[in-house]
Amino acid sequence: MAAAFLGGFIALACLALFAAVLVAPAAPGLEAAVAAALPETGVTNPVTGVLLDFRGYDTLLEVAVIALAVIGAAALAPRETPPAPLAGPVATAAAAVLAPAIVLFSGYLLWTGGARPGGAFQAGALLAGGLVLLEITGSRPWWRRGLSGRLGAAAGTAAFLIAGLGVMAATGRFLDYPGPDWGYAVILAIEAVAAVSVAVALSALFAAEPGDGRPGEGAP
Amino acid sequence: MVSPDAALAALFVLPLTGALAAFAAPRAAAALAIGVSWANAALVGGLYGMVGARIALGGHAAPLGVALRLDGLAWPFLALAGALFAFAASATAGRALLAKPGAAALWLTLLAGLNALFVSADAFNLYITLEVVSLAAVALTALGGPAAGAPALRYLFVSLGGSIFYLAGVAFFYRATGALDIGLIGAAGLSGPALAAPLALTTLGLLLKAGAAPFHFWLPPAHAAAAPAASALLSGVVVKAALYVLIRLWTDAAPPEALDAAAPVFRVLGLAALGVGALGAFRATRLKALIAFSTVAQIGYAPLALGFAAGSPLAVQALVAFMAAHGLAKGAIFLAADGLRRANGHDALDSLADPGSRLGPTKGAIGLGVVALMGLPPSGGFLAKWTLAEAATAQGHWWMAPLLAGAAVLTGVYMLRLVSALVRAPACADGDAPRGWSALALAVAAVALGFSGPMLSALMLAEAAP
Amino acid sequence: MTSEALYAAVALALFGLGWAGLLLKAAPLRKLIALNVMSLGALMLLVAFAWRPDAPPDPVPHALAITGIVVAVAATALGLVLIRRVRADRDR
Repeated sequence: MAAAFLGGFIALACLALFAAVLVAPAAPGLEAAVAAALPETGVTNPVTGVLLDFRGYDTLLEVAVIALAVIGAAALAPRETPPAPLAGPVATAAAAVLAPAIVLFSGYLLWTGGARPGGAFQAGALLAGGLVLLEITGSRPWWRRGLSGRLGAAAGTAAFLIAGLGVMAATGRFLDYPGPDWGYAVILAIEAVAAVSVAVALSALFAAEPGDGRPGEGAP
Repeated sequence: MVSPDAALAALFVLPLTGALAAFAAPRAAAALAIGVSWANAALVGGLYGMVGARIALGGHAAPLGVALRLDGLAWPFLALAGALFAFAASATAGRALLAKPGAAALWLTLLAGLNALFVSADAFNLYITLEVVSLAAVALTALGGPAAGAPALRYLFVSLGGSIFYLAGVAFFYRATGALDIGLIGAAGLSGPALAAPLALTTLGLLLKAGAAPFHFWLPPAHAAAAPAASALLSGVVVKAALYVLIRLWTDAAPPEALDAAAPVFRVLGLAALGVGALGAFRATRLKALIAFSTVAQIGYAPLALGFAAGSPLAVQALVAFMAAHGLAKGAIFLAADGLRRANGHDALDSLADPGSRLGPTKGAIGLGVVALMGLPPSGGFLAKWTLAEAATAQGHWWMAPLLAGAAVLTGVYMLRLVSALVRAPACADGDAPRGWSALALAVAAVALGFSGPMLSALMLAEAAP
Repeated sequence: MTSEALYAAVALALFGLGWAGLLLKAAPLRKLIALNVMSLGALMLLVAFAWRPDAPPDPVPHALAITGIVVAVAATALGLVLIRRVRADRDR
């Protein structure tokens, strides 16, 4: 009874929101402003321009959210026995074939993000998939454990902060990239570090081990 | 002279850098958290002279870029967070929490998120800062021990759900105005469904996140189960973050007519919170549950004051005073309660006893904290109630003054359950309980806030300047 | 019906389904999945609102959606860890 009432209420609320979409007119967006300002960023993909330059501060905080999740997961993860690796011939062979291709293609996604759909997060997510594949087929996950894991997960945010402060020396403003040529170089550098960092962080979140990296009781 | 660009960026660069360093070097983490918390407090103190500053991050002005602005509404909240983080980190309860693995990095991330939230002028950027604050706060809550896991999980669900409502609202705002900057959204002068849809979504989400009645169900278990220093931050400033965004939206993004139309709803929500919180506090059996329910009640002053804020800067000023007074007093009481619990060896309300004369500062903190929560003169709570009564009476609502006096009596009656412990026979050994100087400092600040009326008025005037 | 309205209808349907799941399902994992469905609805709303008649879409909502997805991933990961934590503490 209560469930039906709640469901009905939610349906009505969503219908009302849909009615608002139909009734209220849409204002012009920011596509013209983005197109006008894009040349000064050095990239030609407008989404990348918004993410890394115009709203780069959002992206800095977003990378920090990933680092925060890694910090929280390391602090809260229970000590449990990790699942046994998939050691069959098919899985190992697939990992051996796929891993290099994944690295190559994520590098491509990172590079192409300046002009076409792609970018640091897409590249990082794909690379994370590769790392997870290596780990579940039995590779020792050194990249996400100990100091290298902590530095890796923190590197994306750190790169943003360093770049933001570095350009401040030149332009006097935090995250204000100097000119299209330098701006593009800075954006690409941040994206490269962020992609690797996101990959390390996501693979750490996939495993979600306690921060000291000690395996669970009864682990092999 | 430091440029506003550098000073405002430092608000999140400093704690975020500290958080990364604390994560990378766990051995130095606790000391880093204490040091950065105090450095941040000093930074915020120095920023008082820059109130009115507005910067375009990356040199891109709104609507394309994200702006930060430090106005008379933002500074008191920054100062509240700065004071709470500094004193809570130095308190024995704070050092106990910061010694846990990961706690220091989460502590500093929470501070970075709060600072970024209070200076953000952009509706979508506020969404990210709300998420930083929620996730860090949930993780800190869960560090309270095995009993804290389930309340922290419920807190996470409510908080994430609230964020999603808020995000959907931001999408509607963007569709209707083509802007994300709160000032530009307000300048678009929305009305009808184009205003109602985003405002309803964001308000629902923020009330959930703030634990405002009737969405308070998750708050007392979470705030009671967290470690004492974490509870001080959660009750003192984290719930205020959502309320702060609510104030921003209703005073800057929505036209005064909309707030005028919604005022009765906000007043009812506020009064409901006062009642529900008091009821819970009467029925609580544990010390921390009593204090957490008192937070539910005190949060109610925010919607209540918002119900009189249409075209009335005085009511907004009262709201700021309420939030600051409650934050400082509640931080003090949570820290002092930890001393009381350690001295007694338990926290069952009915058998708590006087912790002895060595814990004088703890007892003083509880006494002064209760004075501020009740709103007795000359405390910050009194300033808040006086200002709100003035604003309401000017709008013809004479009933607010007796009602606020009644609420003070109600607060006094349930807080008597805590104070009465201090006059029982000193039956317990005080053992290793901290003396409570940090708690006392916060409580003194909550009372001294009562003398900040002219300063608050000046801050609100600074906000009105372009 | 414009493409915007069609996409917005699907987005709001997802939003409502997730909302209902969050309130009506008891198991923590189901609640977390419901939250993900709901946040997909909100993000799809951004994508819908980026639509422009006879012109390329507005890039700003697309960028916001990417940011929102990453934030949702981080929040989900923390939620999953917390669910495991609660379970481990209960079984101890």
